[in-house]
Formats: sequence, C-alpha cells, structure tokens
Amino acid sequence: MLTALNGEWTDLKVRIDQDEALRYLGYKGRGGLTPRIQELIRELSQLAEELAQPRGIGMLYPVQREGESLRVESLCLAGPRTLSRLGPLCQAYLFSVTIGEELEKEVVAFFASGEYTKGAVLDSLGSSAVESLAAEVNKRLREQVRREGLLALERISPGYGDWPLEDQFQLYPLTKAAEIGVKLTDSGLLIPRKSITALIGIRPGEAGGVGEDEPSGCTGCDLSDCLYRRGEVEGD
Amino acid sequence: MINQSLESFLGKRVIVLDGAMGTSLQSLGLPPGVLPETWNLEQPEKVVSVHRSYLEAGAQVIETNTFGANRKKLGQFGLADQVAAFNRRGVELARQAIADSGKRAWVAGVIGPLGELLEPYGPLSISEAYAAFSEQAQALVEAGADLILVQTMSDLAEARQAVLAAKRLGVPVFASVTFEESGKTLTGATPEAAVISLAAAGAKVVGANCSLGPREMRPVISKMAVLGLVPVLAEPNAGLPRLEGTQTVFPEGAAEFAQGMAELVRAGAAVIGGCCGTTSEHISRIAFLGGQRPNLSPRPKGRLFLASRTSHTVIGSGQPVRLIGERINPTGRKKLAADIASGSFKAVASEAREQTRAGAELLDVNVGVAGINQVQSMEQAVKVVARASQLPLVLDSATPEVLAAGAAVYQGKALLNSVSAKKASLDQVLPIAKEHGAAVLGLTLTEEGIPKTALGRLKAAETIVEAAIRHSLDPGDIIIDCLTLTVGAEPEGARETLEAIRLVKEELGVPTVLGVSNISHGLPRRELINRAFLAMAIASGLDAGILNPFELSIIETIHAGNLLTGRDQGARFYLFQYGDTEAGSEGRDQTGRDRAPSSETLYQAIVSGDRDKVEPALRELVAKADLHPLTIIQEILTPALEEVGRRYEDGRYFLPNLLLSAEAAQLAFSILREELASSNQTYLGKALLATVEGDIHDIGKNIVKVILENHGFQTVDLGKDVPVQTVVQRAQEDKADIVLLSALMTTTLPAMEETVKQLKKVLPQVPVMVGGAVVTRSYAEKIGAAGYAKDAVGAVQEAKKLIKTRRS
Repeated sequence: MLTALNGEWTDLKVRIDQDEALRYLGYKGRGGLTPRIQELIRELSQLAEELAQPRGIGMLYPVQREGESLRVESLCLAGPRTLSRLGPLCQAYLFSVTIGEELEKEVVAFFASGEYTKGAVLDSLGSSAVESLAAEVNKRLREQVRREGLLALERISPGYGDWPLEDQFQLYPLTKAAEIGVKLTDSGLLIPRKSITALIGIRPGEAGGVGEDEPSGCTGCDLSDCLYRRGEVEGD
Repeated sequence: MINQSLESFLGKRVIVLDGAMGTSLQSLGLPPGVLPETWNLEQPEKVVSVHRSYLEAGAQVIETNTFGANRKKLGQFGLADQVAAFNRRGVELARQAIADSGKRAWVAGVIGPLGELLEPYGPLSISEAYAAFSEQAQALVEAGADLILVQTMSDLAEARQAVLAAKRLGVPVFASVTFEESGKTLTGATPEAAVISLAAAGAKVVGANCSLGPREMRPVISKMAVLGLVPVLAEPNAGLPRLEGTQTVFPEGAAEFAQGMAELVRAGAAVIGGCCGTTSEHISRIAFLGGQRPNLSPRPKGRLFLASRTSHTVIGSGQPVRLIGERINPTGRKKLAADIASGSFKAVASEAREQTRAGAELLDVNVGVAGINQVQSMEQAVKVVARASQLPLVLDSATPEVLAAGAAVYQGKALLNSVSAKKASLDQVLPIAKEHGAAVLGLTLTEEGIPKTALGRLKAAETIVEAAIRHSLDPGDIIIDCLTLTVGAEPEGARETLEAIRLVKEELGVPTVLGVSNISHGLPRRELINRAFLAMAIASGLDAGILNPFELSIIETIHAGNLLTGRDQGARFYLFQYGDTEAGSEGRDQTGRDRAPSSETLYQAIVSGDRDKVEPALRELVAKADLHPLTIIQEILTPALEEVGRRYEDGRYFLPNLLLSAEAAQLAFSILREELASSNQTYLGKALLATVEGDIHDIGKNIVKVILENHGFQTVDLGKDVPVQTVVQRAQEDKADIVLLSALMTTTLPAMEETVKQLKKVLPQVPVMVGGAVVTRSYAEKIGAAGYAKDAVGAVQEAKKLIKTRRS
C-alpha cells in the first residue's frame, strides 16, 4: 500500500554529482577548470560525503480540484505554469530532506580561516548533496508507485516557476520536516540551509513525466540568464 | 493520388496541410476526456465533416484522426486490441471526405507520441516503442495512407523509433517535433539535432508543430531550414495558448496567423499547416502559399552532420577541426578494460564526462576487450555514455555485429567507425548504417592492405564512396580516414598521408578524419611528433582528429590551426580561449609595461591563484629589487587582480579561480602590510557589509568582502540576519563610506527594502549597494538603492564608482 510511504526514509545516501556542483560554481563549457580545482573538488567531495547526515521524511496526501487550482490540505496550487506542469493529479507526496548542519559549519570555518575557495566549493558540493537526496527520494517513490500503476512526476519546490516561495509556510508542516530536525524561520528559510522541501505529483500511469536524470528543472523557467541554469553541450 | 507525385512536389512547391482535428471535434461536441479517435467509429460523419472543411479551405494534405491510436494510449482505455480498427477507419474517413468533396488531396496517416518516456528516462524500451509504432504505421499504410506524419514529438529518441518503424512501409515519412519557447524540446533537444537525427532515420521532411505560434516558431524553423538537409515542415498553433478561466484560448485569428505563416515560408518552411486552435478559416487564409516556391537552403557539400538525443556536431568545410575524444578505448589500459569486462562501466562514464568537460566534440566508444561479449558491452557502453554526455558518438569496432548493436540502441545519428574498401566490410557495414540512420567512417584500406601512395588511398576512398551510393546512403554521410603508419617504419608514409588528405578533399569533396597518434609509435618525444603532424594535417585540410583531449598541446594546436586555416572566423574562438594570456607570458600586462622576472612570477602567481609561489616571489622582490611595498601593490598586485577580474567577466575564469587568486593576493597583502608602517596604509574607503534581517545566506556576501579587500577597501562585516537598526547604527558609528546589502530569497527582499529606506533617512550621503540571487537591477532601482551588482567582480567596480561620485 502506498500509505507505507508515510514517515522517514531509511538508508538515504548522498551521491555527489560533481558536474552539478560545477554548475553551481558557474562553470559552463570549457576553460578555467584547472587540474588544481579539479583536485580540490575531488578532495572536498569526499569531505562532503563524510560530513553529510542525510535524512528524509514525507507524507502522501489526496489532491482536490478547486476550480482551476489544486488543493493539498492547506496548500493551494494556483500558478498556471505549476498547474500545467502537474496536470491532473490524484495524490501528492510532500517531503523534506536534509544533510544536517555539519557541512555548513565546516564552510563557515573555511571562510573564517581565509580558505575561501574551499569554503565556496564545499558549499556548492553541499547543495549537490542535498539535491541528490531529493532525487533519490523522487526515484524511490517513482519505483514504489509504479507498482500500483501510478506515475510519480518530477519534484517541484516553492520558488520553481510560478510557485511562490511564500507557500513554504503551508508546505513545511505538511512534509513533517520538523521530525528530521529541519526548522523554518519566520522569513521562510530552512535551517539547516542544505535542506529541501518539495512536492511530487502522482497521477494515473499515463506518463508524460520526466525521468530522474532529465535536466527538467531549468527548461520551464523564465530566468534565461540565470547563473545556475543548466548548460547544454552545443556541437556547432 | 499516388506517392510519386507527392515526392515530386516536395521541396519544389510549398505544400499545405490541414488544421487542428482535436479542437475542431471539441467544437462539434467531443466531451473533454474522451479520446478523439473513438469518433472514427462512433461519430464518423463528424470526422468526415472536419476533413471536408479543410479540403474546401484548400488543404492539399489531410491528416487522419489517429494521433493517439497506438497500443499504449488506447490500452489505457482497454482498447489495445483496436489499434488496427481505429487507424483503418481513420484513413477510410479521410478518403471518403476526399471522394465526397471531389478534390484532389493526399492522406497523411498521423502518428503521435506513445505517452511514456523512453529509457533511460522513462519506462518504455526502444523495442516496445518500435513495435507500437510499427503496428500503427502498418495499419495506416495498409488502409491506404499516402504518407506517414509523425507529430508532436518532444523526445527525439521516440520520434526516431516512429520514423524507423514507418520508413520500411514504402511511403514517405514526415516527422515533426514540438519545441518549447526556449527553442528546445521538453527533453532539451535542439532544432538542428531534430533535423539531423530524424532525416538520418529516414524522414523525408522534418519540422515543428504545436506548443508555439507562428512567430515564436520562426527561429526554430530558420535553424532547421538553414542546414539544407530536408524540406522543413511548420504547423504552429494559432498563437501561444492562454488560460482564460478553465478554457485554453488560442489568440490568433486567421489573418494574423496567415501573416505569421507567410513569414515562416520566407524563413524556409516548405510544408505548412496548423495545429491546436487552427480552423478551416486559418487554412483557407494560408492556402495561397501552396503554389509558391519554397525558400530552400542549398544542400551542404563536404559536411557531415551528427547528432545525439539532444545536440549536434557538424564536421567539414568551414567548420573548426573537430576533436573526437579517443579515451574510451581499452587498448593498453588495464583498468578501463577491467571496468568494461566487469560490466560496471563506471570508468567509461567518467571518461565520457571528463572528455566532454575537456573540450571533446564527439566521443569515440570502443569496447574491444578480448574474451568478452562485445555486442552486449557495446550496447551497454552506448547507453552509459549517452547518459553521461550529450555529445554525439562515434561507435568504434572492427566487428560489424558490434557496430550494429551499438547503432541499434543509440538514440541519435552516430558515426560508425569503421568500414574499409574491402568488399566484405562494405557489404556488411553499409547496410547497418542504412538501417539505423548512421554515418560511416571509411578507412582507405583495400584487400591488399594500406596503399603505399596517396593515389592508392584516394582510389580506396573512391571505392567506399561509390559503394555507399550503391547502398543508397547519402554521400554526405561519409568521412574518410587516410590512415597513418608510424613514421619510424615508413619514412615516406607521413607525406603520403598528408597528400591523400588533400586529394580526397579535392577529388571527392568528403570530409576527412585521422587517428593522429599512430604516427609517432616507437619514437621518443611522441607528443612532439603528434603535434607537428597534426598541424601539417590541418594544413592539408583535415576536418577532425581522433585524439586525447587531455593533451593540452594537441588542443592548442587545433585552436591555432583553426585560426591559421580560416576555420575560426574573426579569431573569435581563439581570442575567447586565449585572450591576452600570450601577452602576459611575454612579461607584459595590458598596458604594455615590462616587468622584471620576479615581479612576473608574483603576477602569474596571483593570476593563476598559486598561493605557494607568492611568498618567495615577494621576499625576493623586496630584497633584490628593493621595491617599495606600495609600488608592488600598484604595479603588480592591482594589475594581476584586474586581469583576474577580466577573465572572470569574459567567462574564462569562474568562482573558484577568482577565489584562489583572492587567497593568493590576500597573502601578498598581509606580507606587505607587515612591511608598511601602519600609518602608511591607505584605503579606497570603508565598506560595511550585511546579509539582511531574516536571511541566513552569507556565502555570496563573504566572497564580495574578500574581493573588496583585495581591491583596496577596508571592510566591516556585520554577518547575516542583521536587524535593520543594527545596520543603520553601525554605519553611523563606523563612518562607513558605502553599505552593501545581500539577500538570497524573495521572502527576505522586504527586509532589504526596509534597510535601504532607513539608511537613506538617517545617512542620505552614504550610498547603498544591493545584490544576491533574486535581486535585479530594476529591483535595486525600485527600492532606491544607489548601486547593484550581479557578482563580486561587478560589486568592486560599482563600489569604486559610487565612492568616486560621492567624493567628487
């Protein structure tokens, strides 16, 4: 039964994607990536994996249609882009993942001791680490619901496309993030910083969903000159 | 009408298709959620009436109501066994409409996506997709469709399977892909990759439909048409859809649509029609375009086009010399061989990623480990590499079965490496290329071995090109390798190879490729020979090299070679890559001043961010050259940091490079400060930094602080989550010359606005700068901030400017 998905995930592991981390650091295409920086990234990836304390938790909720918008408990999704991305849903899985506070403490320590490069690189590896946890949950969920003939879509979070960041206040409690030690500040930020709350839409298995490795997060976004936009390899 | 006449029209006259079926049926009462195809059986007269309306509007091709009539989609409604019936009926209704109308028109059997994503991104296997498309295409053609129109595909892998399945049935196949406003498909494919991949799979026409209106579609159509590979199709929606209430509305009326379509024809569209929201009225307004001559781009000569699932590479005349990464090859590499033999492919994936990053433009994939099942390994390797890199692939094996296995699972247009001029090889490899829509790399190797002379190799190349044409391959899909033997054994060999490259290019007009490193086998300083030979081969007209992208001297030779042979227009790439580093290596900065050797060492240590070299160089300078610390700052450190800033701005340096340099510079400054009496220290000004109240992200602010310090600012850092009043109070107490505020999230922008407001009230003379991920220049202006920067280097420039204006 799908209700077995409610609660904390066990055996979550971070898998750092160094390419993703390079993207957070601004690398696009060739140039600048000296052997020294590559070495630094390799070395700090190991450190990041050691420092990460991965945890994840989530709950499955029914989705109600209200006019044009979708409602999940107290959370109301109304943005046209968000809605077109989700399509007709039957359920939504609301979850939270974190890598804990140790990594960011190390980042602060690096900066304090004048090792800015290490600080900045470790910070981006931390982002890549927490992204990998969310991807892992997305993947596991997809496998679980597929057995029930359902399709889990790609996760989205407040701030993606036209989903306002302010909705974090509704989303956060529904994900049960507090139970894995993730706090929400009055200004809507998650602590530890390397935490994610997100929603995965679940619909009957007619598919159209985008796979785990698909660079889907950026194609639908309007910020075309964003520093973090996923780069593409152009041949000509 | 018969097929021949359609094909004889193609590319000579603009052909007009019809408009939307789904939207039209809905206006006739098709309830939402009901499959439009069910009306083929339940309300056939309504389907016929839609066809009739388009025929009367002047459509030359009408499209069957069979978009979703495939096993996967019908299966969701328990109708999987009805595929043949739905499709047969679809064609019959179109035929009936033509007969009733008394007009002449062709029937396009429409095939849409299966509704599931292909592996590895989705659950659908290639063979399943192929089978589903085959079943539908066969039903359509058996019922009498004149052509197959594959439509609204957002994944080239899926579109390819549809084209491959349909092309065997003897009717022309048109393939159309749907692009987002970004100019790419949902899965990230470019228009060029679509044309290259689908034309290679066998589509006679490739184009775009749905998602966009005529205007938004124009850049997509231009990019497709300019390649000159096949006539291009355009079936846009009636404008970009808008949601009004619960209704999706298509804004463009027939007149506006027709205007947009005329522009698309000018941009190169040769087959036109309408998608969602278009009606017979829209079609009647574009029917006049039907007689026109399409604006076709000339068919390219001497160019080879290759594509992956998402992107493409062009090899040949006018293009830079392309670098084919040679590293995925287990010959002489034990670890890689073990990785392939064990089935892990982790090392293969990482070679793919690293070569891509190093600047390879295509990847060679060779799994030649003795004693393993290479067919299976090639399949796996192709899948792994295609996942790790978006570059098009070169499948490398001497065994035709292995090439066939790789080509069958590759979801793009690959290059098969290789075929030779031997009869057995030609007979086995060329059909594989034909079947899977791949290009071939031909080795100038005959039954007698490698011809000694250039003329002999030209003859071998000729044999290959002729055989390819006999196998009805496009002669544009061949690239020739004139082969290199080691110069140690064959002193004349190098000259013959170079001459053969020139001859093949001149006589046959096909592009050439070379595995360069063979030349130096058994010689000392191999890299020296390789580099020189590569340069000579480029001069002879070489178009691509199979090389190691990690060898800097090789890459540099290609860059210089491109420039020297006119393959780098306006030296744009060369200048982008090297900029003024050459000037720097000759001991001059941009102002052209000479520097002493030890000052050069310091300059380079800062620019390259090499902290370890800073202290020795600095000590030597102070001791030997007896330079005053201030002189060192002004003449060495500042220009070095400016150079770093320039490289960062024009995309040669990235954040880690910037920070490594900052660390090196900071060390230099701290040593120099010891030398300077403290009274002698002067600053550009005092900058107060804070991350605003409620925001806890301070990495960006910390970076700005470091860079400001390096550029001569004294800084006061208040940290993160700083209350408005604290910022104001400290700015007063510390007599700040400028205040910099950072915020990362939209939720903390109000706190930024409030801080700016209070600062302006209390300290109107102190300029305030803002920045952070979500902050834009217009937002900065809106909240009354005096300055804005998008990154640390920009922040220094802006801060300098603001301080100057304030003082003057």
